[in-house]
Amino acid sequence: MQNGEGPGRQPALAWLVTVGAAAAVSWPFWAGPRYREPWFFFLYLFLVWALLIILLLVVGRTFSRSQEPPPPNSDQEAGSDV
Amino acid sequence: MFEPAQVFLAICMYMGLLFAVALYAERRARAGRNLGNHPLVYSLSLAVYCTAWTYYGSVGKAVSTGMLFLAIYLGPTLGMLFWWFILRRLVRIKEMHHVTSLADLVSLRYGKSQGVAALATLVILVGITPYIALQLKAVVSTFNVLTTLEPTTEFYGGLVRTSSGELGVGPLVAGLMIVFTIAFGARRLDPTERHQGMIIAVVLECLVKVVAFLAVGVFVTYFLNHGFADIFAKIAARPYLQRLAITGDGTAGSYLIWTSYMILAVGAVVLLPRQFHVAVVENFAERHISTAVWVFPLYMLLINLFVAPIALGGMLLGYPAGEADAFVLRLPLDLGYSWLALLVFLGGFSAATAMVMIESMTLATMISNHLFLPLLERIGPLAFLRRRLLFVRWLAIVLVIAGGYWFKLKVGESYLLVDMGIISFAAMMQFAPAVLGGLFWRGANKAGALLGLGAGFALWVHAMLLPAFVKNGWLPGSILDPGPWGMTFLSPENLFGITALDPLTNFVFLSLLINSGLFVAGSLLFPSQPSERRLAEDLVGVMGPPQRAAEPPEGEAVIMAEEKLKALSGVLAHYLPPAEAQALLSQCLHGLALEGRGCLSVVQLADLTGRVETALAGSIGAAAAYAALARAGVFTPEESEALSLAYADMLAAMRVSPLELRRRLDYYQAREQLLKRENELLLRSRQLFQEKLTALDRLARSVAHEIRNPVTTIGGLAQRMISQAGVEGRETKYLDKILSGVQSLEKIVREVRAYADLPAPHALNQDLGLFLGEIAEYYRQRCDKNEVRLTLEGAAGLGGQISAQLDPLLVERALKVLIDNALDAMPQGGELRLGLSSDGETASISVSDTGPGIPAEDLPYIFDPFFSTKTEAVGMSLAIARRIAADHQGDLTAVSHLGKGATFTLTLPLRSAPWPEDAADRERPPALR
Repeated sequence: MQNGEGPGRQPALAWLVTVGAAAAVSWPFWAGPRYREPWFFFLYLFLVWALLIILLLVVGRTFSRSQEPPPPNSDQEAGSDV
Repeated sequence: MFEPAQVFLAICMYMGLLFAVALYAERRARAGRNLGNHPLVYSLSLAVYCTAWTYYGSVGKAVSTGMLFLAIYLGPTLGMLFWWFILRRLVRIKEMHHVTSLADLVSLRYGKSQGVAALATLVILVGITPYIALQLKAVVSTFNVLTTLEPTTEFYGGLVRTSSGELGVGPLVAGLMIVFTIAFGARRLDPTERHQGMIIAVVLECLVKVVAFLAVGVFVTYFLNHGFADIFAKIAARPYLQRLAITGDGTAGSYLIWTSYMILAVGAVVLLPRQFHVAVVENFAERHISTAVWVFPLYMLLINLFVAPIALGGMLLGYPAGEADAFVLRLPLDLGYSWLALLVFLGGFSAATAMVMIESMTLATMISNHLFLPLLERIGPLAFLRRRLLFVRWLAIVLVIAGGYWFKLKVGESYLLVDMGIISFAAMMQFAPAVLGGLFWRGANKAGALLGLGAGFALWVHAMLLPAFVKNGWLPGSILDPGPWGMTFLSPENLFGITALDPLTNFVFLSLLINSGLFVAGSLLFPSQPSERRLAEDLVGVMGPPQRAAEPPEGEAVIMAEEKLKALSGVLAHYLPPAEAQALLSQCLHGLALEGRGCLSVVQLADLTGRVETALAGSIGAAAAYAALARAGVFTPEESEALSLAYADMLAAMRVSPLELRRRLDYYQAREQLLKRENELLLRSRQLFQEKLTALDRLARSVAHEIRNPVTTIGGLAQRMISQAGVEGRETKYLDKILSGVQSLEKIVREVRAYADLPAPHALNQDLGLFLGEIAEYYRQRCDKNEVRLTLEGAAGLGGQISAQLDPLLVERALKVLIDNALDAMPQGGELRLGLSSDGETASISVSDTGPGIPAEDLPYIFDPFFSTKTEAVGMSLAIARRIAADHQGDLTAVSHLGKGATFTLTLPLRSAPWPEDAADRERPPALR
């Protein structure tokens, strides 16, 4: 645990998603002039944006679930001792 | 086209709707139903980020710089996950310390420094006021477009000429915003109380603006053209328009400017005062953030989806590029779709008003707490205004909005205002090192924050404001070229002689570098005060369990409480009305269970002072509250020393090295976390149990209701048949049996209903000794008759010794069940003992008899419904008694030895606690109200 923020892999996942998404957004800049055609660029950006929102939804729900207390019948935490 | 009066009417009706919605939300909140406590409401309130600058300016920006405008919205989407981590910390800090604004947070983190708070407020004020002006300008300009009035010819000093004389659209709108902001944003003094009305109105405005923008987007894309592909195909055939849809030229400069915009936008989402307010101060629950993480980006995507088609559509129709800011409004208006144009106007009006109201509310809080209040403390003749802090805040709201309007009149058409959005973002970015560094780095301190923020602000004035002033003609051009005093490396647009980057990119990277560098250097080079280090420890470790390893020894209670309470009450009364001050102090005492104490220990006094300070911080800010308590001199030098000794004793008693102490802290923290989880599990189990109980109640009530009517009918008919002539012999016998069965059934139904319809307790302070004495008197005659000796033990029958919060009617009912049972158990006489005792937390009332006792195998089931060893009984009375105990957060237990009698003990908490949810939800029957 890192200061109660859930499993330590969460910040790493956040970095991965962010860097991946930034790379995806920036791709037309270095991929060549034909990928900077207005119509293509417009479609591409909004598609990446929409995918990123779906990813945020999934990641958000996963993070949020990992911070909830376990269900009452879970033997993972119940009865654990120090 | 519309007449000005028609648009005025539309504005007034729309504001009327907002007032009604806000009032409704506040009424619901007062009734305990918070409309704002919903993740979607929270997520949509964040859309206050999209102002008139987004609504109208994005199209203008698209015409001049292609798709670059998208960076302002893509940036926050990319940074959303980090925003989540930061926001959770900020929300926790807000809950712990009653933080009211960004300036308050910065001052809290850096030693509750009033200097830091004042500097932060000034930076925000200078950076945001022109942004407010931009919103007011948008409303006035679009009003003129809608009513055909040209801004430069007929617009004069905020007044537009109408057939009925002169009416001011600017003053009208500004006035309505002032009234709304005061009514729903500053009616009370404690700004940590959420502003339900204001937030619901803002959410409605956010919905209106996105619907209006989508409507005009669909109109341009699908009614004026044949879809997205058609628009882009048309511009492909006109090379001069291609440049309007540029995506960057593939050079480093192009990519860097996208990056600069994105960085600024990420910073703005966290640090703009209005974003801080809606995201942190108004947050109801941390879990709402996980919904906002995707709903807010989705909102930004929707509101930007049609920006490029509208920009290109306008250009294809031959509108000049210089009027692109008004395309959103002009296209439907000029093509005869007046009602769509009116909807678009209201959408833009919503975008502007939402921003102005939230921004002015939070700015007014900062100005009153961090600029006015320190001045009032220092200027003796004005000290009386401290008690009029609410009035001061209203005045600040008027000043902020009126100041924005004045600014709009003075520089309404200047370059400065056109680009003010991004200039404001750049100003807020200067808070990033101090805020983020302060949240994650324990070593960050006040010196570093002041150095970094001061240098960043100075650079912002130099590189962002000066060029705007020069372009406006207020300063000579030589400042830009070659540079101030002829020094090229000081040229605002080419700082340090860097000419390869555009001015904004140059500023963003240089200012962040210098600001962060000075922040780190200052923090490393200058030492922190111990109090600042403690705060750093608290705030950086806010996501973990509390840092205290163990409570310090309380010490002897030798400090006279009355004197200290008077001092604390005096501090509160300086800022709050007497009744509120007293209520706040009582609340703090209650929270620490210190009411009615004649003497306090030094540790208790420290706890109480800390709690009062935090509560006061909710009204006047952390820095001012800290200073006020420090000035009050609550602790004498001897008491301060005693407090230090108490903490030192605690450390000495542990006999550990600092390293070992740290390890033990970690151990205790881990243990505390586990205990917390166990507690959560228990709470959940209890909740499940309560839910089952409620379902059982419902079932029992409905079954009892269904049975009662037919049973009554059967009984009535049987009775009638018996009384009729001609029924005799065996028939009468059968009918008697039916009647007897019916009576038994009716008794069961009555008992079940009594259990299911048990009313919620209404707590009253009750002297338990007197209460028990009265019950004993009630039973004395019956006891005498049955030859039962009635005795009172412990404090029973003694008045004034033990008091508790309880519902006397219900507890009396439970005790009568126990006493009746005891008397039934002693038909040949015996002894009935009523006892009363207390351990300081709970009171115990015992009822003992000398009857035959309860068999050990029956003992676990005696409180279950329908369990009885008596043939005549239904078996609900003890279940009812235990339920009454549980509804009072108490318990009912039984101990028995066969042949020696039984003892029932009713335990009740001395202080009132919140009743269980199901108990609180139950209606009290009229007879008991």
